[in-house]
Amino acid sequence: MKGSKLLAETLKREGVKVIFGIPGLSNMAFYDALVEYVANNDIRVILMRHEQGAAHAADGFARASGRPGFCTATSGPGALNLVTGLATAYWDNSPVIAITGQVPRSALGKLSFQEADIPGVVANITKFVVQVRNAEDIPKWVRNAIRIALTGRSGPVVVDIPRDLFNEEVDENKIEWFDGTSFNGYREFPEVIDPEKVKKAARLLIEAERPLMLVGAGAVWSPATEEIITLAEMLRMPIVSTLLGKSAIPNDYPLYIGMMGYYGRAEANKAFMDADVVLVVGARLSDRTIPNIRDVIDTKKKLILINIDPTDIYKLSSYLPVESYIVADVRKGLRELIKAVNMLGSQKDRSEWLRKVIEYKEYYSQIYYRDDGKGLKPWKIMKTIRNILPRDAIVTTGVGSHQMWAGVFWEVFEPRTFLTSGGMGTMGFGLPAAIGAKVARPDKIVVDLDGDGSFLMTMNNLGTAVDENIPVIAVVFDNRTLGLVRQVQDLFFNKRIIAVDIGPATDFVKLAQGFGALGFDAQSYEDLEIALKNAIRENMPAVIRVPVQRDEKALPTLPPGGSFREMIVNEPGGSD
Amino acid sequence: MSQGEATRQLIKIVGYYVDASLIERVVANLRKLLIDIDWIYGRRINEEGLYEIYLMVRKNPNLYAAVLNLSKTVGIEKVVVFDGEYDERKLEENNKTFIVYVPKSGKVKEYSWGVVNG
Repeated sequence: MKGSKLLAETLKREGVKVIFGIPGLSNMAFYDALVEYVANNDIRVILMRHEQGAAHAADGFARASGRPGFCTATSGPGALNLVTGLATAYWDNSPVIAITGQVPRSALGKLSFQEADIPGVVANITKFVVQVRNAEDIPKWVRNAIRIALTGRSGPVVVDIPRDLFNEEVDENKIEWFDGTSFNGYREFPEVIDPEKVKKAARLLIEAERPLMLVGAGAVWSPATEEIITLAEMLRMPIVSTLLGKSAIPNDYPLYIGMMGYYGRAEANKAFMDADVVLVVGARLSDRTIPNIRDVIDTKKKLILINIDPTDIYKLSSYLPVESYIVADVRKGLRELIKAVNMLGSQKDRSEWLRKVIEYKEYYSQIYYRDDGKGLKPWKIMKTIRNILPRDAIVTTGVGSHQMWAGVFWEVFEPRTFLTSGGMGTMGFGLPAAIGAKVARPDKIVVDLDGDGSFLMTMNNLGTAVDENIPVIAVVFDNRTLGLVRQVQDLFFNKRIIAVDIGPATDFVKLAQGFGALGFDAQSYEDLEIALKNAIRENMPAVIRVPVQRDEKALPTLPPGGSFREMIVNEPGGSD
Repeated sequence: MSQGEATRQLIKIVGYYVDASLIERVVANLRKLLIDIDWIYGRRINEEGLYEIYLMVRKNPNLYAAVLNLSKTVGIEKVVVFDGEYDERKLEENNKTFIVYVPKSGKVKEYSWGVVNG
């Protein structure tokens, strides 16, 4: 058996059904070995139009399904193009596995054609990378890659294979069909469920005047929706989320306030500021969620953490007031806490605290949901789309103003139905991630809520969606500018607008049609409704362009490095 | 014999060698957090590919985060922090002087995949 066949066979045995990628000189033998597997419907190969799209598609597949997403690229430029997608997956703990071809071992270090030191390049933006030395080791490393990617704090892994190994004959008796249960130097994090700490956490929450639960992406990966709701009900405790944690809880659940953070809902940030005890579940408290740690320290909050990664807890404890913690998967940690609260009993009257939260919600609703008649309003566009899509539809986003509007206004109802690049903030994520999500969940309607700038970065993959019959719908919020950058220039760089505006020539409808997709130009909410219904009915890839005013802001926001006390909720100079 | 200087910290990383990227990973974890290295010494310590790498690093507020990150890096078994105390011995051999740093074993903290000992 040749190394290439051994790789294909290993992937089949591991249950891999789809690989997103582009063939080239150094992974060509691998593709050649896949011919029979594709013919037998064992594995599907999807030709993306750029390797960044392949990594994002694998990422979208992983986030939508919870299973590892596979991508492949050739050596040099092909593998280098994966870099942004791998970093995106790493920052958001997504189990992407990339198989990269490499130049032959004899050609390494000679500036050979399409040679790049991929292990060196990706070592710091992946959970693990290995360059395979012997063909018979291929199964061992593929299985290690899957285990490392999926367990503990999940993340991307790269297996780099010099192409001469693909052509090497492997003695089948020498193949290491590694069992995947042990790997020197890698362990899952131990659970630390100290009964005293659990009891302390329960007591703090029971006795708190204004408790709050902050849910992050860990609650989605777990998943822990039921436990979150149970504990919130028991303690009458409102819930806020990070951007990635939005889908951990149905957004219409009455105790859910919304996404907090730099561009978070004002009422969520206000509730966070007011809270005296905050239970943080599956969130690493990045600078996007808590831009200024004085907001925690000055308000004398007590934090309780549930996190699968104890090192996150130790790090946060070194500069934040962490009173108690549980090291465990979110669901398990919450169940322990629920048991403890049940045992201790919770009688505290929280009606005043809940009333205050409702008042915040009502107050800010008057500010958000305005329509001055100048163009289509992002909140109303979101509402129009939401009213049409079923509750289980999957939505991806690009990065920019539209992403922040989605964070604030898009209502998510089920886990794994809101996929966005949180930690890395990667423009161009939306469309290829939607393709990956649709491949993983063909039974769901998948919509990419995108911005014009973000969409244009990876929109070439629309050709993939058409050729492969992957019916995703991209709704492009077209404000002809890199809106979020423009907003920062406007608000914090003294209105010195530079290098952000996009000219009028780009025609999204013609672009869509040029790729063989449906194209719609929605000039009104009614147009949008008709276009979206048509796109769903036709069940083919579609682009719906929705014009938005260039100066439409993503609010609330903060000054760079600012505190929640400095929230900007209204357009400066706008009417109150 | 001398006391470890307050500006420096001795750490030991124990990890499994798959290829030389083990050393890259160790050094990159420090470099990423702006931590400077005065010297480095490493060797294989068993037939299963277990290596120990000693580094004398400049003290830095980021060191704790770097140690935690290292302690959960794939391939790395544990990170030992020597609390700044070690003996410094001079060895004369073949007309050359070698300085050997011998960590005091009593004051160590070990970090390994979320488990802290010491």
